Amino acid sequence: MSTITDIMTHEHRHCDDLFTAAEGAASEQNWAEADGAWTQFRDALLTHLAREETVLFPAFESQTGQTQGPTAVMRMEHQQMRALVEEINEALRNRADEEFLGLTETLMVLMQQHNMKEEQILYPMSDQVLVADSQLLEQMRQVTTA
Amino acid sequence: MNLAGLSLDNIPPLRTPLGFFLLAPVFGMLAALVLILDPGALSSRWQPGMLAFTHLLTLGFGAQVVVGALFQVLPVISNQAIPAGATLAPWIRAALGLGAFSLALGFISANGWLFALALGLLGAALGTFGAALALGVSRIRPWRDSSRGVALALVALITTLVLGAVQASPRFAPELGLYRLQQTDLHALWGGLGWCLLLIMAVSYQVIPMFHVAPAFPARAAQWLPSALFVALLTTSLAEAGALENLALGVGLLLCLLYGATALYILSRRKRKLVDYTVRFWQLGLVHLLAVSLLGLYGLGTGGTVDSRWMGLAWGLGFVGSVMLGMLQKILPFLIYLHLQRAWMKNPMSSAALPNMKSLIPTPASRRQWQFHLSALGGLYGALVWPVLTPLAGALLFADFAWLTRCLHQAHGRYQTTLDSMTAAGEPAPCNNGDR
Repeated sequence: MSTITDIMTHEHRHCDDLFTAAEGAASEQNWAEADGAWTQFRDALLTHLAREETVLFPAFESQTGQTQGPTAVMRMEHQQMRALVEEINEALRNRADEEFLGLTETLMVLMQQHNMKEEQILYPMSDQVLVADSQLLEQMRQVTTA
Repeated sequence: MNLAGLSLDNIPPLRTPLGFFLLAPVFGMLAALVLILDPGALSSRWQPGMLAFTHLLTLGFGAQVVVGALFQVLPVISNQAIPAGATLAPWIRAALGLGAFSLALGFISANGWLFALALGLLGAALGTFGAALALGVSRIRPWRDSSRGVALALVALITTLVLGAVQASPRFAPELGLYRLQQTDLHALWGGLGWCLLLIMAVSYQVIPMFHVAPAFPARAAQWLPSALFVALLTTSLAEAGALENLALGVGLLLCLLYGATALYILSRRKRKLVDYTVRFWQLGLVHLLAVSLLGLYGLGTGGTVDSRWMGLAWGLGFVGSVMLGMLQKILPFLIYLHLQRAWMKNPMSSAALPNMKSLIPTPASRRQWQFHLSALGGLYGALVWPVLTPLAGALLFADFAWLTRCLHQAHGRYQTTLDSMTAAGEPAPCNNGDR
């Protein structure tokens, strides 16, 4: 069976692909393509964050008894990402390419350092403390925001 | 599971890395001034001006940037902060800066007291930093490739320092009789291939895939490359001059080639294809790494000698300097953004608009940095061929570091302005109030 690390890391890579497509299109001012790719990215990202916040983190917290530890930091960083996504939506609506690219650069770095912490620390720990049973994985799959 | 001590939010206050970054280019400008004021400085590696120039760049600029970056990078790559970082940083910064300055003055004036002072200050600065870093690294669980690279780089730094002190000892304690000519090469090898390259390797394993959405370094290579390079250096140092020493050095240079080629390949496979001057600086630096390694191998293979001034310049400014300039274009804006956003989240009623990363160091400013750096490198290579160009090369190098100073201070100014607007009109001060 796939581990939590495998599944969630795969979601990160998928988000990266969609993100780079949106950023690349916007840099060429191909707005129609940028709109489509950005919408796909945004939905994938928000779904991923929701899966963590509503299923994975609560399971981790209840197993370890820690609600103010690593998951609290991850939730705070999710908030930061959501705030940036909102700003990027606005820049895209206004076709403001410089603003869009400045903000996506920021989101990209924020996202990557966040992903690194999850992939190297939080997910492997989750794999240790949680049994990645089909129920937990199914619960995560059922979370969608699109 | 024991989660005690685990924090995913160990980042130091902004003033910790920023203080080092803002001070570093001053030493780059001082190094450039040496060339402007001493047109014969580049004529030999043993010239006092050349020695002052080299150490102002390596200890003044390079070590300041690296120490500042490590305060920031260690928690990101390992979740462990450098203990007492915020308290120690100002002292380390001051001692390192004064030490580098005294050493450069010592070379120029041949004053033994200045050497003793410099070694005391540098020993205190880097010794304290090394001890704190070692403590931080020892707490890393689980151990990863990047952590191993940082630990090995630390040993290389200490070795470089000890060899440097030994080589400087005739200036202030000649009775010890510790000086050996060939130890100067080892000092440079441990500083360049050890401290600098091991650290760049460790950091690149994380930051190249992270910032540029590139594939990860091959796991096996990432695991054994730093250790193999370290063993090659150790063998080079311990072997008697002869076949084994040359063989070990040759292996070390082949490992440099392997690393450089791999890193270039990984960069070429990045998914983000936007114009990014950090990528260009990395590519420029890695091409220099390949060139120096090939030149070194050529020298070993033919039994000839390659002018150490070319090797030193290409390694120091072409490879290490380029990578540092590139990383600063990315790291500093991100750090400023991160701290501002945290301040804003503690103070969400603030109407302050957060600057995005590209507005902190705009792409045209990075482009100008790139142009200045290429000009400086071209000028310096030209000055090695036509020494009459040395003051011009110094002026171009001065412009390179002056531009960096301008960019860093502008970004910092923007940070302060935004923070001020958040705390204005009686709003409660954000948590990072002390980060100026």
